[in-house]
Amino acid sequence: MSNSAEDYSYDYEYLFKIVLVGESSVGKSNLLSRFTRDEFNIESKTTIGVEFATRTIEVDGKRIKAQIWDTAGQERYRAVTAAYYRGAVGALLVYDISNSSSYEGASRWLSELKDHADANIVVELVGNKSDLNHLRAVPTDEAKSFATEKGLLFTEASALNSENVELAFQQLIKAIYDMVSKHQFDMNDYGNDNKPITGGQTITLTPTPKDSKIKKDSCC
Amino acid sequence: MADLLSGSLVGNSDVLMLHSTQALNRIPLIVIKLVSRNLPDIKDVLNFSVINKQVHNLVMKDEVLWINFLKRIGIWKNGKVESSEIENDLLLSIKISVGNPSLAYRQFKVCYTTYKPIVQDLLVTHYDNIQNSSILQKIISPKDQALLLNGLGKFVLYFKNVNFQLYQKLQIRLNSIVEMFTSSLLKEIDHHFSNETYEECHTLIESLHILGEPAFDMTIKNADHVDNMELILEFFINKFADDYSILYEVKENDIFLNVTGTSLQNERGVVKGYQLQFVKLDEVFEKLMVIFDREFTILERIFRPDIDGEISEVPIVLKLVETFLNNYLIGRFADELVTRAKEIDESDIIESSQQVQQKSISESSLNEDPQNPWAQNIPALSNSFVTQNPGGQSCSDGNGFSSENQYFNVMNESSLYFQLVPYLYNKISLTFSKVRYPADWKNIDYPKLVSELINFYYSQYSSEFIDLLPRQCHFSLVQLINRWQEELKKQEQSQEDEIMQFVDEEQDTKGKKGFLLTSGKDILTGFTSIFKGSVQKEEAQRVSETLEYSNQSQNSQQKRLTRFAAKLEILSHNLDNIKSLVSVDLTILILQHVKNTFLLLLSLNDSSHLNTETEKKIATTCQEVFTDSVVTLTSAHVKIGFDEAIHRLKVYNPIDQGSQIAVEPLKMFVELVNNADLVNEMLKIFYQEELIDKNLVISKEKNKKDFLMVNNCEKSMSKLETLLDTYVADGLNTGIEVLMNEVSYITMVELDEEIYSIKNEQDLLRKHLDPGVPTRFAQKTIQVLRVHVNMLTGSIDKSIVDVFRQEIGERFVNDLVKLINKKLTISTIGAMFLINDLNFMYNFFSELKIKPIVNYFIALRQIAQLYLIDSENSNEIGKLVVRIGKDNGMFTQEEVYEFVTRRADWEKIKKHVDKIIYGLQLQDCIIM
Repeated sequence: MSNSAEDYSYDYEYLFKIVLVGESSVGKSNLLSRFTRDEFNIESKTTIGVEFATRTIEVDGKRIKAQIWDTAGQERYRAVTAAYYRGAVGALLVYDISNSSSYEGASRWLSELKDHADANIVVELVGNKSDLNHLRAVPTDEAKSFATEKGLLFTEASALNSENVELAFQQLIKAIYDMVSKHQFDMNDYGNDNKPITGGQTITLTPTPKDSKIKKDSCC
Repeated sequence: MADLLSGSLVGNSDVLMLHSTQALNRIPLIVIKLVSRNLPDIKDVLNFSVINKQVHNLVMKDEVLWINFLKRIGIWKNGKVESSEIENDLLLSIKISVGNPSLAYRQFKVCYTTYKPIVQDLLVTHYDNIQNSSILQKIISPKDQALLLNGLGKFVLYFKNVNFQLYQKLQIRLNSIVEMFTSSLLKEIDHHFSNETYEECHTLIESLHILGEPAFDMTIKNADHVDNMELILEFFINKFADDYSILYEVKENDIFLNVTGTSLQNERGVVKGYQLQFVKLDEVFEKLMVIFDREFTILERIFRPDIDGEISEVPIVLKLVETFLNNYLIGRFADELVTRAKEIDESDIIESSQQVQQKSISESSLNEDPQNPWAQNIPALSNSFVTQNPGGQSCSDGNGFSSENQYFNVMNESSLYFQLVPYLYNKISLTFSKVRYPADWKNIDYPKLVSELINFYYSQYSSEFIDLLPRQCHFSLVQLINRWQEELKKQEQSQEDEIMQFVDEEQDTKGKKGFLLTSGKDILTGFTSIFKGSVQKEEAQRVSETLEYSNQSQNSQQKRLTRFAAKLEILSHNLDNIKSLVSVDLTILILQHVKNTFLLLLSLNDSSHLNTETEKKIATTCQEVFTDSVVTLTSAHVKIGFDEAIHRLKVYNPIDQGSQIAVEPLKMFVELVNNADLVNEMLKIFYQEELIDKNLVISKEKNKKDFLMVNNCEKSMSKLETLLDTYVADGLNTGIEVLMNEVSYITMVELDEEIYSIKNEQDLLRKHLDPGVPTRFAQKTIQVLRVHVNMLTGSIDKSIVDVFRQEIGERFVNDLVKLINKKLTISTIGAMFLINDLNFMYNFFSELKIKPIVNYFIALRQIAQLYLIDSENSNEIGKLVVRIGKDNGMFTQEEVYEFVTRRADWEKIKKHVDKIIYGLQLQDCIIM
């Protein structure tokens, strides 16, 4: 994985915008840095505003670039949150398994997503800090059933020891991809010329906000 | 009482009246005593005493009277009551002083009865022919005769008050006899001396000594008497004078060898074509040593301590040495040499500076020493100094000058005077400390006494030398520094010339065109080819050297440069040279000069000088020399170096430097500062080791020091330190200026404004942009800042580094804010890139932990959110401006407002935003 823009900016077929949301200090930034740079910073500070990172992965032979927005957990400006969610096709809703209030905040974030984000947005619930199992405050099953209930992807991960971090992102991106492929197929049926482009060109999923009937591809 | 006298003494017949008991009874005893005591002639006294028995008793028992007689012949000593027996011996009767009053009469009687006939016999009866005098027939040995004459000398004093004319006559006669006797004694001594019968010499000298003791009456004509011991000294000096002639056998030309035109003329220590022949001088001193060994052996045998303690050789030995030093060795021989040395030093036969240069070059090539670690980095000039005893330790063997090569050092090699004076001192001291002195039977420390004599007689040369040396040292330092600067200039010039040699006029024209067309690309290629391995500089240097010195014609094609590139190369060489503007090597040379000066000075400091004026003077002079060297180094080198460096920093134009990461002049400046710090450190160490540790400076305990006690040396060093601090500040200031120019340049070259104003995602794709990666502008600027900020770490004081960093940070933020507010237009998509760049910059500054700057970036990150929001939410934008304006802590609301005006859609949303912020709009106002 390289950070150099020249290396791969032309070398992807899909660009997905994914947002990282969740309460403050649940480990969003570290999940991101673990995924994009394989780094973990024990002294990481509260994110101010928003941070960006990208990583390209391959799904079904397609190169997909994930443009991930790491948002400040305590962002209070609605207009700004709206900007964060604009055009996002995926979201990682992160909570801390050792902090029940962070889990309790998940439903609030979910409704926030509902309010601001695209209706088709694929959401994955991620219980971070799975390495702190001995301090666990949120039972896996409870979170899992909540996810099922809300149609969310679910995983528990640890940015600290890398456990399931790849998986969390991978399964989200795969889900988005599956949804997008299906959607495109649907759109093609309607004569939409927005088709998958190959040879270095890319699309972002920007379905119309009104298109709320697209079926959510939820599996877990 | 008056009646009595007039009646009985004056009125009657003198003698008869006195004989009458009746009359006598009338005269008080004190009168009798006074009368008797005032009679000068012993005969009168005796006559007086026979007036009657009572008078006789009175006179004979009047101790005062007889003591007075003894006093007249100089053998009475008050308070000396050692003996209760009188000395009856003919010769000794008058020799020994008496102190017992009860013996006075008897002693004088012996003296008188002994010497009165002798006076008659020798000075009256047989004066014309003393050989016939009975006493001289009786007393034969010179020693006894000397005793006799000595006794006579005393006894004739008796006649002074009796009959002055007689006394004068006797005295003159006695003197002539003594003179005759003395000269015959001397003849005898001479005879025995020649025959090496030193025992006889001893006896004769003893006789002379005995003879010489009495104080002959100087009022008597013809009494220009010389102390006999001086006669002896004179005798020995005359005897030994022939030995000293070796001093004059040495021809001046042998010592000051004119080597002009020979292969020797370029050797070290040659001054104006003259070379001091230390070997010849050594030979002289070796000979002197042999001579003195022999002389002292003779003296030791003559003044055998086992004979008696009456006379000793000590005064003779010391006087002999003193006379030799004063009249021969120092007073004449050394004086002549020193005078000649000065003459040569000041003579008009001046080597042309060209010759000197050639000399220094040839020396340097001769002295090139691959083992010498210094030689590699120092310009040719220095080698000639450096190869000789670096650190100056090899010649500090106590005496300072032991082996042949060390008669001169860098300090005195250009002056025969400065070579000669310490050499002579050391040689004289050494010679007289090694001479075998007569057996040490009286615990006399001859070497110490002699070395004091040497110091005394040599002091005029020493003190003149001590006075002149600091000037010489100063002159030499100035010369050294000037030569160094010249050499540096020359090197730079020759570098430029070499570079310009490769300028290809043909390509130059092409190059110019190319330059204009490709806007600087040509420069870059020029640079990259030269500085390909800026990391592996050595290699690059080697490469360029090979290029320069090997087959030029073959390589010339590859090495062809355009004029422009060549100028840049010159510029970069100049930058390279910044760090050599203050030279550690030069400081080493200077300190070596100082050290050598100290050695020369201290070589004049014998252990016998302890706590003397000379020692103090030497210490003071050493301090002066050190202070002067610091001052000279500061004013003639450090100041000039830094001024030049700062000038070069100022004129540096980053645009010329293309894409080089490090701003070269700043980097060089830091290295220069490091050099200067090293120089400063070296001075301190030198001061500690050479001045404090060697007690040349009495240093107070550190904690007891107060600022009033700071001496000149410390003052000069702290001045240098202050100067350095000022220059570091100035340099950093200029450096920051240059660095920020570089940043501006990078901004100008690398900034792609379109990125921030990107309108749709297709453009994003077209431009191959990735919001997760900072833009090239951000990357490059931060890279430059990072390099320079880190470059300073550890090289200068941390607080200065912090100030430097903060200053850089503030300027950077300032520039960045200006850039955003004046230059950029930011779209909602472009906002991602701006935010990402800001995040990237924030990370850099938060790593550096520069709090105020981090705070700026936190504020900027918050403000940048304003660009993310969609146009539709313009009211929200307005609210946010207000909120952020209140919250951010760094920018005022007006400033935040400034930022928001940079939105791509500003015209569209301005109205709504203003309404939120200011409540009212122009159109809300109704003109009545």
